[in-house]
Amino acid sequence: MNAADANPPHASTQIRLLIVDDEAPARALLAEYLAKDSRVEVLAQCANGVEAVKAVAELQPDLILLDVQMPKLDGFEVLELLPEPRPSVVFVTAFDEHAIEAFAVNAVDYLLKPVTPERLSAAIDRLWTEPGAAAAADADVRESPPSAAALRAAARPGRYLDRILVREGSRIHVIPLERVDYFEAQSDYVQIVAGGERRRKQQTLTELETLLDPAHFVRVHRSYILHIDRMARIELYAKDSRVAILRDRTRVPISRAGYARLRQLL
Amino acid sequence: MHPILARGQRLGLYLVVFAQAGLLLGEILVRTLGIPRLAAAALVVPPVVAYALGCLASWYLCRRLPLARTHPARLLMVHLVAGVLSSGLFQTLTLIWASAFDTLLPALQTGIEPLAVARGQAVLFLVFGFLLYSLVAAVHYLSIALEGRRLAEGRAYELQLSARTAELRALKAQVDPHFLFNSLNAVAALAVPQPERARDMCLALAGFLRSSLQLGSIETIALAEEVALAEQYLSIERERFGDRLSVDIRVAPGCAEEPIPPLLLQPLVENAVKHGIAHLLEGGTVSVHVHTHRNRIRIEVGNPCDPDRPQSRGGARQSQGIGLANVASRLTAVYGTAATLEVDERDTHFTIAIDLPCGAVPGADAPDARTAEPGPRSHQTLSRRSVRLAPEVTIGVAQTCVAPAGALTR
Repeated sequence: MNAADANPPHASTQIRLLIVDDEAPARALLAEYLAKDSRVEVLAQCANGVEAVKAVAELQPDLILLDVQMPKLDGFEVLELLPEPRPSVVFVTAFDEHAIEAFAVNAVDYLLKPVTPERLSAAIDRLWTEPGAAAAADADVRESPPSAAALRAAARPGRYLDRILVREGSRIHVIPLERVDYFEAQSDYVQIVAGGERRRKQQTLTELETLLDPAHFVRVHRSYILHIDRMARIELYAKDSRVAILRDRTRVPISRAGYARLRQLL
Repeated sequence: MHPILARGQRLGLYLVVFAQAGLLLGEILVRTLGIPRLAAAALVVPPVVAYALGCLASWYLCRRLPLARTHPARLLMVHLVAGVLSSGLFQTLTLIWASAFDTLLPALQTGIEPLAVARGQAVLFLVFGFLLYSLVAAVHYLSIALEGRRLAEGRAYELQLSARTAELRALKAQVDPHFLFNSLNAVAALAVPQPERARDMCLALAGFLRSSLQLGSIETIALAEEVALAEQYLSIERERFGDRLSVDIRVAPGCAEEPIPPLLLQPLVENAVKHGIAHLLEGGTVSVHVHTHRNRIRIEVGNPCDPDRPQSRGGARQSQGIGLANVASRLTAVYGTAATLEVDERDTHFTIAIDLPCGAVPGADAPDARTAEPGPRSHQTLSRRSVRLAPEVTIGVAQTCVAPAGALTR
């Protein structure tokens, strides 16, 4: 299945790829260049991130040529939603502002628009001559791979998530953080509670905590991160424990350490 | 650095002036004592020239006591004391010279008593020394004042230059690099399958870039031209976004020739695409509605937006930031409180409305005039004149960019 398994110049080892860009001319240009390259097979073209996430699940490509600025889901968010093992990624974008983030999420290459055929070919070369590289790098950290979101966040310190993406089968939910009431840890999952909406996402609470703006989200308990803008008041519950009452009267437990953190912020 | 010692030429001139003052003093001696002219000159000119060098030191005193920032009494006192001391020095110099006179210049055979002359005319020498000191101090203050003005002019020029540079930087920022590179990418894509469309897009892009560069430096433009620029921008974006972008432009009859500051509408339209349409899977319509009511122009730009994009990201003020802030500050600069900018932010729709007075743009002629008074002049000629001015101004900006050093020496 993976192009890594066989010797490159064989016909059956073609790199199977997806083109993802919301602008039709941009997709057409890449497709035109790639039509002349026998090493690759273009499986499909996707006009947005949502289509891309679906197409990756259905077609299992080796490589995605991925635009960054797209409606609904940007290129990085697409990566975040792809299950491991992810296909290799080459970002194609108009400007170099995302380059550092791109390499942080192990992108094979980063192409600038207008794309030249030489530059695109060189990016394909990287995958062609060292097909196992990306996969091997992933295998090393398979134990507990940091999510694409965490890697990206590490590349841009001081900037925090502004929305949470949850994938349920083929459906993708986008939850703006301003709507979130609190996060609750549930074994390997995080439950996101936003108004009446409850979603589960495979992520640890600790990793999530590092991605959130500490001015608005506080780890009030080993199992809870609270959106403090939603809090109405704090009540004493037992001798050493308290409980936060949210505006909609939901109760969220606060540990002693959590209370200390909360007081520091307030 | 001392203004006179700094250049040999100035020092030479200074000493010549003093030598002449010495000759004057000698002439006084000739008239009062009846001594030979040559002897009188030989007696006083050398001490006067030596004294001239000593007086140069007063520059440091003048610098320490600037005219504007020193109390007049203090100024007078200090210079009075310095002047008296200096004139004392001058008298001493004449006495020393007089006592050495005969030994040093025996060939002159003047037949006078140099020492007696020096002693006898002590008061004259004191007064003369004091006058010379005052003259030098005045010259020093004059040179300090001239130097100050030169510096101020230099600073003003630098300020002007940096304002120009800032303007140029602003112009560059107006052209969003994403827009530019994405458009070029689209041109590249169209070039092979649809060369004529590629050419059209290239021409539209060039036209748009040229106008936005020109318009940054002129003060008014006819509303119709501003709308045309926005249309040109949208036509380029339509090539990129295809069916996702539709445009609804309606300009009420009669507004077309109203003068407005340029680049008010275009940034708003750009934001509507960048922060609205670009984030919607199905796209939407950018609407531009312009109408007049009771002698005011109202320009409304609306676009649908993605409710899932939080404030910090799209759809809203913060990321519309630069363009919107720019428009707002320009409106304030030109119209003061006479113009307003309203932002209506709903979950799925974003509207910006600019409301400004019809008629003259007050900033065009008098930057401080805050009240828009509908002037009698023809708007049509006003706008046409502004546009014709544009190429010259653009050349000026380009020079500042390419050769700032050359601009400085001009």
